[in-house]
Amino acid sequence: MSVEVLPTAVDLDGIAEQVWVAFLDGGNELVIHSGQSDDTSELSASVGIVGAYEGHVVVSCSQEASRDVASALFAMPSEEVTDDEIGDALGELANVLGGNVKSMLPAPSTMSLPTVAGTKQQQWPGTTEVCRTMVTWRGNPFNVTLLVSRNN
Amino acid sequence: MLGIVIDDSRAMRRILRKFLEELGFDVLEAGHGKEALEVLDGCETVPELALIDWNMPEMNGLEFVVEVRKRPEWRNITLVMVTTESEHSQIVRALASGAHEYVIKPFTKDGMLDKLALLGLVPVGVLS
Amino acid sequence: MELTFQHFNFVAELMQKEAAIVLASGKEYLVESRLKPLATKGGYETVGEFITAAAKVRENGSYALRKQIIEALTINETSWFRDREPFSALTNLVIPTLMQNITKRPIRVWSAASSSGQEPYSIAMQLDKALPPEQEYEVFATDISMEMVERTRRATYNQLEINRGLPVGDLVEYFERVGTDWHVIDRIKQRVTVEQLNLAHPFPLMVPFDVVYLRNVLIYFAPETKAQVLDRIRKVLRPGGWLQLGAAETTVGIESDFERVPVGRTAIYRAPAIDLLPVKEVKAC
Repeated sequence: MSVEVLPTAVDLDGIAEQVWVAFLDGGNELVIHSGQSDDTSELSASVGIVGAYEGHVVVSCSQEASRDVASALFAMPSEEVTDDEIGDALGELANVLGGNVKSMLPAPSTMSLPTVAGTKQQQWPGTTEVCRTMVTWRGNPFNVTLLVSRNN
Repeated sequence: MLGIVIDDSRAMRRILRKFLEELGFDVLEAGHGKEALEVLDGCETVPELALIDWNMPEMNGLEFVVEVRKRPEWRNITLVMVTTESEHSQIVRALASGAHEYVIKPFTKDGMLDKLALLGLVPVGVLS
Repeated sequence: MELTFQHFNFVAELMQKEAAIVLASGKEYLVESRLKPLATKGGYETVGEFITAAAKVRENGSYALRKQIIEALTINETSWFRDREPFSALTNLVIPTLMQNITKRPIRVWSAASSSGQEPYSIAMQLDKALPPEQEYEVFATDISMEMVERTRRATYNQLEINRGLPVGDLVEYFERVGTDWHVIDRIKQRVTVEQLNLAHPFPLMVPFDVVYLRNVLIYFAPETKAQVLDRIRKVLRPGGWLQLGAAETTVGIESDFERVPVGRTAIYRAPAIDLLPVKEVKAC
């Protein structure tokens, strides 16, 4: 696998922008901070990629931000969304981001179903970061990261 | 008009259900392919439209499409993949398995409406 | 400021007058959701304030805001095969007619307000499918905006743009994935020439066309400009050539000798064949 075919932060920016605009826009201001990250995340959702490429796509954010995502996707007030709905919504966000990232990775690769957990509980040993971006939406940061397995 | 939305994400099912209901569809739901086959088996009227995610537990969307195509009584269901799988080769695979149309996630309401118009399921030029 | 009855009425009247699109009451949410991004981008607190600014007819810049409103609320403004019928007309009516007296020359089609390129590439795809392989064709695309001209030349579309009405069979056949975007394949791209052109000014010298697509442009012109544009278009059409207008547009009210030929729910207009032209117009000019 040659290094130059892997996506860059600019590619992640483009994917993240399309995903947010299509699913989470609603007139809210969206800012993309290419290559940056924020360390206040409490929850992360990830999809694993196996095959010609081995790694993960991870989206992480605060509890409050995840509540906003669920509120937007389920079209209900944020104080009414349950933990289950937060997990489902954040998982779907990871799924859509991951699928679009996968299309830029060496093929054939398959993608796992999303897993959602507390940031402290979810770790990806044996991986290195390929690129990242940060999206600020409704004033809250979301980290989007592409990881690659070191033995890839 | 009757449609079925097959997706393991409840959030996505809700988005698609709301969209179809606004267009006047009655909507069934299933969380994966196997459940969708059960729902269809229990249906008195066959849906005109199925919106199908690809990556799901139990039975994925592609396997579901293959199963539906084996059943002549379901031949009038328009099968639309709604998925984040977006490689050229994957789209070709879905078409070869019998899917009629393909919507890549993320999609906008307008994009989905365009596809349904293309399939003759809503009139061209409806404002969403 | 919420969207008031007056705001909605202003937009509804604008759309009726300029684009012949009827916005019934109850479509307030549609106006709100389509205009919200424009309002935010323009620095207005609410959609209501944005509409108020657009309604100040005498103020500089309000025209541009009205144009933005019309564009945002015009159906499928950047769809592939937008409205379908203008493209099926090509296959079902125009091409069979042209092929009756087939010559060695290429068929020439002009997309006269090509925006971000979906129309000219849709035309090229349609011709690729409908014409016999030995029949050459050329698509000429123009737009007033240099930004749009460059976008069309790039022939690159993102996922959201691709989802807008492009049949999946055409996606698979005529596009290739590059990164997260889709490129029109070279075989189609090389048929399309893109230039900047302002339709309201005299045209440069052009090889005549068999078909001109001039959709949803005339609505932006004053009646006298509209007549001039139609006249210039007729002069670059071959005798018996075809003019495709937008679904809501007609040549009615304009001194025009186009014949209206119904196609499905809409129509295509045909320039007179050479023997029907008055003698004085046939002379070299």
